[in-house]
Amino acid sequence: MKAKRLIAMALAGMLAVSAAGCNGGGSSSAAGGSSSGENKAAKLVWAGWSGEEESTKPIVQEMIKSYNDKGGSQVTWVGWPWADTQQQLILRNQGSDQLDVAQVDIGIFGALANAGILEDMNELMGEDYLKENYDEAALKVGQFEGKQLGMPWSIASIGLVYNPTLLKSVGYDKPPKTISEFEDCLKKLKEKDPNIIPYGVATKEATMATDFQPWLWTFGGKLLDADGKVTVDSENTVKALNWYKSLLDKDYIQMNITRQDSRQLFAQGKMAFYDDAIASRGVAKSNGVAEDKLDVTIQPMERPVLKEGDTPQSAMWGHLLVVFKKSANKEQAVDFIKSIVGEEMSLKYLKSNGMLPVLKTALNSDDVKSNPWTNSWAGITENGTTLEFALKSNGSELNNIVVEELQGVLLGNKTSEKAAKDLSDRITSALG
Amino acid sequence: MFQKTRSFRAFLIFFSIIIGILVFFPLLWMINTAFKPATETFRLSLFITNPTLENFKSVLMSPEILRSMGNSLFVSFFSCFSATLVAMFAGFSFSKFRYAGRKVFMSAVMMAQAFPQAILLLTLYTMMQAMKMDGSYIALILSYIAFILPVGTWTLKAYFDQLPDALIESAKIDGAGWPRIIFQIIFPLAVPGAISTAIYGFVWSWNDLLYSLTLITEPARRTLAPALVMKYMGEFNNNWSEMMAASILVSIPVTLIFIMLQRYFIAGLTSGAVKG
Repeated sequence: MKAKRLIAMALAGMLAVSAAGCNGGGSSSAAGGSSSGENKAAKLVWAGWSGEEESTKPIVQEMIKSYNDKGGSQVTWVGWPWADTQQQLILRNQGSDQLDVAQVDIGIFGALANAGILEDMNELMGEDYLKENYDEAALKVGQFEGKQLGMPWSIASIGLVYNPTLLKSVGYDKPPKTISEFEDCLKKLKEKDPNIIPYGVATKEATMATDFQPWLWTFGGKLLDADGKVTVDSENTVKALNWYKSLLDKDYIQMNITRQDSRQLFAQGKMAFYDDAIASRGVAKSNGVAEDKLDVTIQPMERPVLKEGDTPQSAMWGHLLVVFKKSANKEQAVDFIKSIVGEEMSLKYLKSNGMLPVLKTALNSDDVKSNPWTNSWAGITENGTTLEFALKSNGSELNNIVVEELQGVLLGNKTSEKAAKDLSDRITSALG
Repeated sequence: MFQKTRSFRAFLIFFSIIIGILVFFPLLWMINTAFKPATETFRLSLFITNPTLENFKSVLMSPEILRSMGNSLFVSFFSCFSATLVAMFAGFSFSKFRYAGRKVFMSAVMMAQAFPQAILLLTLYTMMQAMKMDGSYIALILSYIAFILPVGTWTLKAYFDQLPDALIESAKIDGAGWPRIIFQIIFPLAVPGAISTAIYGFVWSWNDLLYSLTLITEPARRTLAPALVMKYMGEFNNNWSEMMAASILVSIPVTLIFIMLQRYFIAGLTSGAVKG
């Protein structure tokens, strides 16, 4: 009974403290902006997730403060978790909340572009201006049906990263260049230490489809052709699927691995290769790798090719900035975007988080060229290809189909031939 | 009559152990991870070689988490209190009164449980915006009441069904008016049912992520679930050890409530289960 009284008092105390500390009521709808059509100072709302995460919050706050301190338009931030961005943007676009600029992941850009809610940057900034000042490969990522609906903020490829120390321990001073060298390296790593996962390719969730596509391209396969026709049911797809299965059978990869898991295991020295982007160096550091050990722990590499002379494949990744059609402050929004992707801010972003700039002058600066890490990624990105479902309105559904069929093969539930056929049938049906 | 033989008892014990492992192992792993440093998160071992309290310290010293915990306590208490009060009146009305449309209302309340909350998000969000309540705790509390009410109303209706009409008749004969009958005679007898509804409502509100993420965007007003996700689950990294430590700490209020009120909760859940 005494214990219960103590517990009741503790609960009452918590409630009293919470009531004292909280206030209710009031709307959080951001202040409206000035009328459109004139570049007067306005109150802008910038939405996304980077301003919420520990690693990127400081630089985003600096970007906003730096812009606000100039006088003129004032920017406020509205944030939510990365995984909820698409849902929140669609919801808020349909409501009456002010929404001017948003940070968008390349993975959800297609859904928003298809929804018809984004403004064409060619109209706002001028097509010639964009081509003259920004990297062409980066601009392509934000294009949809001939319009520039997304302004690239930081674009790079998802490539392979490797642990030089582990590779050196099995006789590889340089990363493998071909698939056969790659398999040989994986074999030696596994023989040396059976507890290591040689290659941490994603084997669950949507990232499994992201990691699979560059390998499919490496084997000469494609999910869709240039006209959008489904071409996945091919001999090359079967070869790619068989190869994936063989990696699992030989214990070079594992089931139930996500990219997040790979990042942590890699930082702990329990993995030799995995797929990631330019930000992976910062991730390794935040996962406990000492600054002076980074160079010997993580390095980028071109994806191994099927035969010498082939082009190494990689999937484009990055963040875009979009302006909404419903925004009453489009010109002010563009002015803010130019400030963020401008040389000063983009080089600060590169320094703090390793994100590649998109402005040509910034890409050619010493900060990029003299840094081996960013320079390597810039080279890998040159051959980057947009993921095949990136611009589809039902991209999530299509990626899930790829994940399910691939898992079916890995788990031995179906043959590669059957999986390729089922992929074709299901994707065709989903595309309508 | 079913006989509890020795072999049956052995089977029961064995089965209970299996169920116990399935239920408690994830909790054990959560506690295990909370005491591990980040570098050992993926080390598959029940025994921690370097236990640390740093994760708990980090959570307790995080002003965002502590503030969001206070926000969640405030919202959850008001939601569960308000929902329980409305559910008591609704349950009593369905149980003891007969009026036109009663069955239609009852069916509507029952069918409301069938709607997944995600489907109603757009409608509720638009409504709250139209009423200029988006961003306020009122919007969140009203949304939570909307989801707690169907279950609460049915639980309490079942409770009120057990109370004999003779109680009300006797009170009327003695000259009591409806307010006295309701507040001094009927509602005190339905306390177990009310508490079980309140607990259900509290846990529901405490755990919600979707609505709190959508309706509250100001960081200072954020509740616990979105605060935890934003702090520990990012685009590039998930801080599992601190996330597990935070999960343990934030489950303390709910655990305390269950300990205090468990007999009322069980009584409320089983009300009407057996006709005596």
